[in-house]
Amino acid sequence: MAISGEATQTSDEVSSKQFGTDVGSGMIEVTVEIVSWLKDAFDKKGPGRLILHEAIAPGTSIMDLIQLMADKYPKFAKEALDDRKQELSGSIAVILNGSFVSSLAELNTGLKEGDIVTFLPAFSGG
Amino acid sequence: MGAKLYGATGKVLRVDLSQGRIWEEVLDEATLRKYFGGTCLGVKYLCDEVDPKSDWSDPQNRLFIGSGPLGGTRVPGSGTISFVTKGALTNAASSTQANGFFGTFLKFCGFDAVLFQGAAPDWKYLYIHNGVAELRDARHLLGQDTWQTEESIKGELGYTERNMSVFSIGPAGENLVKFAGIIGDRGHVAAHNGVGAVMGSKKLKAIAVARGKGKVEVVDDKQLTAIAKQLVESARTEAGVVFHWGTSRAISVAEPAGWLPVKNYTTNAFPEHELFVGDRVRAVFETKSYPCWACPSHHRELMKVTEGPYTGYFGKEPEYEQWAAWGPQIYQKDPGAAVMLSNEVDRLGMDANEASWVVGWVMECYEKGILTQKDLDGLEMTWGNADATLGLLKNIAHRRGFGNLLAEGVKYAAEKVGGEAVNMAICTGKGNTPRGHDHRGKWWEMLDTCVSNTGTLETQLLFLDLGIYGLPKQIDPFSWEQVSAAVAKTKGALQFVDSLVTCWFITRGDLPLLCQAVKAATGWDVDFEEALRVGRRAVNLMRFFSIKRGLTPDLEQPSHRYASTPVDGPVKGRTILPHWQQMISNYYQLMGWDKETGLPLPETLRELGLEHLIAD
Ligand code: SF4
Repeated sequence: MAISGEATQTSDEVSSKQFGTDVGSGMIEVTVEIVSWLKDAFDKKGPGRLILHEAIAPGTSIMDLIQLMADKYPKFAKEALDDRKQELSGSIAVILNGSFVSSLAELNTGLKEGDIVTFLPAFSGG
Repeated sequence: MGAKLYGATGKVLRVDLSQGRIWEEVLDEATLRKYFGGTCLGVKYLCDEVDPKSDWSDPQNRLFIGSGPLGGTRVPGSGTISFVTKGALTNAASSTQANGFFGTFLKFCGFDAVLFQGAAPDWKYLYIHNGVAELRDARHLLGQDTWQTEESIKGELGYTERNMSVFSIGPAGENLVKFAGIIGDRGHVAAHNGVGAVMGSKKLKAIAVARGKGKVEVVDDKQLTAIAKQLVESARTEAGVVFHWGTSRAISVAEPAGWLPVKNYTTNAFPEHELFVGDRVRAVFETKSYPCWACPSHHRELMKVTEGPYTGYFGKEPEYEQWAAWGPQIYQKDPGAAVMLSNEVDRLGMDANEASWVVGWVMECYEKGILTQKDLDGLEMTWGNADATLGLLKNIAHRRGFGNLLAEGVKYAAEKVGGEAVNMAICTGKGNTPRGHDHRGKWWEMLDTCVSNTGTLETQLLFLDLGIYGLPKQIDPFSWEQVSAAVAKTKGALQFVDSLVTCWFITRGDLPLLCQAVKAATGWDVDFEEALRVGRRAVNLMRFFSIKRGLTPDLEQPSHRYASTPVDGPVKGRTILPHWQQMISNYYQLMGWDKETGLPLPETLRELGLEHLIAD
C-alpha cells in the first residue's frame, strides 16, 4: 500500500506556567513551537513539533524569550546562545507567526498575546 | 629527477582516446604547490589545453578526474575525486565531485589524477592497476546502467566489492543527455553540468581502478593521524546531525524554513515531509551502513524499501536533495517511490537536480494543458505519478520521443515549447539549475547558483565559522548586502577542500585544521589565507575561461519562476528581484571583477599568481 494522505503531524503539547507566573496576573501567553532535531534539546523525540505555551510579561521581545527559555532549558541554551550566553549562536532560526525573522532588529520585536514563535535549527545544507 | 614528494604523487595519467595512447606526466613541486590537485589542478589543465570557444563535445575537450595531496591518507573522506571539464549544460567550465574510494585507490596506484583527451573510435573503458593502465573494449557494456556496469567490470576482472572502484556512465551519458552524470561506488555521483555527456562524447564507458598495494607516503604520519582523529571528533560533536544522520534529517527543517522545493516552486507547503525524515525512514526501511574511505560517519546507508508498492526495492538511501527531488518537487508522497526514483536516476546516470526540475516542469505543463498525454508519448504526467515519472526518465536517458527534447535540459525545452511554459522553468540564464532547494528561501544560494562558474553551487556555508571570513556569525538570509558579502568572502573555501581532495561534510570545511593536515602530509606550510587563495585561483581561472567562452553578466540571473515571490510559507511575499542588481554589483566588486564584463581585474589575477592571463 502506498503511503499517502496526511503526514503524522502529532505534536507534543506542554501547557505550563513556564516562568513562574500565572497568566492572568498581567502576563500574556505565547505559543512556542520547537521543530525538528532542536526538540532533542528538550529531550523530545518523534515526528511533529513540540508545542509549549509560555506565560511572559508584556513587552518581552523574541530575544528576551530566548534568554528566558535558555535559563530554563540548559540544552536549549547550548544550542541557541554563544558561550557567553549573550548572543545567538547562529544555530537556530526563528519564525514569528509564520513569517521568517531574518534580522537582529526583528528579534527585538515585542511579543503580543497569542503570538506563535517557532524555533528551528539554522541548517542550510543537504 | 626532482625532490621526493610526500602526499601528492606528482603524476598524472594521460590518456589520448583518439590515438589509444597512455602516458605519465610528471609535475614539479612548484606546480603542485600552486595548484594542489583536484579542482584547482583540473581547472589549470582546462584553461591551458582547451579552447574556451570550442564545443563541449569537441574531442579536444579534456575530462580531468583528480585526487589531491590528501587523497588516500587517513584524513576522512579522502577517497573523494573532482571532475573538471567543459560541461555540456552550460558549455562552460564545470567542476563536480564524488565521494567514495576512487581517489584513494588512484593514489595507491601511483597517480594524482587521470586526464582524458580525444574520443575513442569505439567504446572503451580504462582499467588502472598497480601503476599500469590499459584501455579495454567496452562494447559489451553498452546499455548497462551504472550499477550493472560496476558489477560487470568487477566481475570480468575478478575483483570483489571493496577492492576496486568503478565510475561509469549509464544510458544517459551514452546518449549525450546534457545533464548526464558519472556514477560509481554504488551511488556516488559526479552530477553536475553534464560531465557524463562529455564522457559519452569520448566513447568512454567507465574508469576502473584497482585498490592496489601501494600507499601514500606522508611527512608526519603520527601528526596526520592525530589531525584525522580531531576532524572526526569535531564532526561527531559539532556536526552531529550530519555525522549520525547524513542529510536525511534536512527535510525536517527545509519545509518549515521555506526552502523545500514543492510542486515546481508553486507552493512551499508539504506537510507530508515528516514521512521522508531520516528518523522515520531509517526506522521503517532496512538499512546498512556504507561509508566512504576512512569515514566513520553514518551518512551513507544502503536501503531496502519495506512498505508501499516498491517494497523490496534495494538501493542507496537518497540524499536530502534526492528526497526533495522525488518527493515534494514532483508532489509525490511515498518515500518508497522516492527511493526507487532516486536510484533509477543514478542507474540511468543523470543529475537528480536537473532531472527533477525537468519532471516538475513537465507535470505543471501537463496540469495546465500545455503538454498532453499524446505529446508525452502516452505518459500521464499528473503530479506525483511515480510510474509515469520513471517512464519519462527512461525516455530522456534513451532520447526517445519527447524525451529527446527534455534531454537538453529544462531551459532549452521550455524555450522550445514557448509561451507560458518558459515562465515555469526553474533555471538561470546560463542554463544551469539550482540544487534541490527552493532558493527563494535561501538567497545566498540563488546568487551563488547564478554567478557560479561550475554549473552548480560554488560556495558552501554549511558548518563554516563565518567569523574568520570577516562576517557576522549569522547572516540575514534576506539582506542583499550580507548575502552578497557572504558568498564573495567565503569564495574559495569549497574549492580548496575540493583540491585536496576530501569531503566537506566530514571535514566541515575547517580550513585551519586542513592546513595542518596538508603540512603533516606534504610538508608544505600553508596558512588560511593561502588556502583561500588556492581556492580563489580555481574560481578565477574558471571565470576567465567562461567569459572567454562568451559568458556575459546578463546571463547571471534567475529565470522568472526561479526568482518568483513565494505565495505561502515563512518566506511568503519576499522578493529577491528588486535587490538583484545591487547583489551582483557588490559581489563583483568584492570578487575583484570588472563591473561591466564580470572579468577578473588585472590586480585580482596578479594577486592570485595568474598574471599570465592578463594579456589574453
Ligand atoms: S561524510 Fe558522507 S560523503 Fe563524506 S566521506 Fe563520510 S560517508 Fe562519504
